[in-house]
Amino acid sequence: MEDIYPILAKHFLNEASSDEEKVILEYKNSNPKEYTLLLALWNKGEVKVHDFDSYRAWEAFNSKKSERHTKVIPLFGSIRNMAAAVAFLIMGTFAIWYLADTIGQPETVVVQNTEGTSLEKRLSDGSVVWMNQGSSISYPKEFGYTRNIILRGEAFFEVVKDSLHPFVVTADFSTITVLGTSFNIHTDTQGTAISVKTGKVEVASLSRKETVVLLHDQSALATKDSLTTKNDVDPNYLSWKTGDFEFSDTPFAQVVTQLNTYYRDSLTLDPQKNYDCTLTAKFDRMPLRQVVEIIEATCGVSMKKANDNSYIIQ
Amino acid sequence: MEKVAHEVFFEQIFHQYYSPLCNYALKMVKDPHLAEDLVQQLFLQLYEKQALSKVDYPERYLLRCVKFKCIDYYRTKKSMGEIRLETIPDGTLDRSSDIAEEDIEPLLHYFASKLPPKTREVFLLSRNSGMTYKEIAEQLNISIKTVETQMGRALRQMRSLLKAQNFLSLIPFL
Repeated sequence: MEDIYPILAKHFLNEASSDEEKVILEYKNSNPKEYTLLLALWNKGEVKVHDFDSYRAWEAFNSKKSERHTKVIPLFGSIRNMAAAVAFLIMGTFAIWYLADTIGQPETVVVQNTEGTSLEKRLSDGSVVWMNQGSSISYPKEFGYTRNIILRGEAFFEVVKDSLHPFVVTADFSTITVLGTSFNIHTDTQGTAISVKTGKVEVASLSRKETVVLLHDQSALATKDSLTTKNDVDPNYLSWKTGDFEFSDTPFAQVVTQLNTYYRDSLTLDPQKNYDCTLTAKFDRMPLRQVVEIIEATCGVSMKKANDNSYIIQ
Repeated sequence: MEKVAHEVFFEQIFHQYYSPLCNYALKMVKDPHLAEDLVQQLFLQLYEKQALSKVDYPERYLLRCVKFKCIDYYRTKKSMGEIRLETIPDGTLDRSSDIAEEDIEPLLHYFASKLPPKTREVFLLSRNSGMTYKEIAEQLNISIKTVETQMGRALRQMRSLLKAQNFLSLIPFL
């Protein structure tokens, strides 16, 4: 019995063929209780769904929370720090800890990338996640009907195709649903940016009021109150992972921000200064030293070496 | 940048269940503002007692809490008192139980609210307008096959919910 439910749905609505009815009869005989219950719910009156805004509610929740003046002791604070410290010592690159029987699912895995480089993580369904520095994901150890992932920060996903089990990523400002594809999600305090490399991706605002479908080389930006789409992607949206950069007339401050995603925050701007130049250049996984030389030559700035791998721009 | 893990999970649970739980409460108390107040207050209580971290089946527990909260609201002369969270079983040792008639409507609205947007759109059209698959496909400009898939997905999700709420036993009756 592969997937009975599309057929059963048709049966309930008198849309099934006579061949399909035979399959249903067999199913009905072996699952009488399930059949009766589903039928009772499937045919029960009108359904009017209200969209309650959880984002607005969360803000209200937070202000009420502080109103109550309750001191809440973080439950996992000490355990987490210990686990992180131990894992850090053992593995060096990243910390994993299991939160058994906590909120969410019986067993939830949390992976945090505490290292400066991107971290590759393979999930139980075969999908692969590359996490940017400082980002974290969490997911149930065993996936249920949907493959649910929670993301903080930035990650690139290569999702194994499985049309029966949607792959759902919840980020700060949106929910992204796919069946099998590859895409990048970047979240900061302003919003969540989704860039699609291959396949088809459905993006919903957090309140689920709006949804858009993105195809390859399209992108969307979800913020607190809006969801906008673009017919192209930032040429550097994957640079944090690949180390390949392409700038064309890009404002200097933006160049530095983007380079820092790959070169581990090695470049520091002088906040007092106004950098009014733009850069047009292509870097392919170049050593930082070389990148710095090119920038110095083309932008007329000087870079002071702070230590082995960091520069202050003057 | 990072928050304590349980806080992250709490926030996640909040966003995931807030609207569906309000839809559930709405069917019981009939007033959207009141439904939101009750759910909001429940979450505050759950947060302070860190109750969600102690249960094995958060969804089942949340639904029961909301139901108790609504019933309690009427029982205590419409006051917004706190409910005794510890008296609500999370269902770890539950035997399969039957669904009560008065639970069906709230549960159904909870279910519909939790569906992914596209699936929900198709489900609601079929449910509320009585359209055939062909008519839905034309209205939404999608293929009949997609309608079938989405309806199947909705029904499968409904079954998962019933199972998670323990209305469907894993072991068939002999």
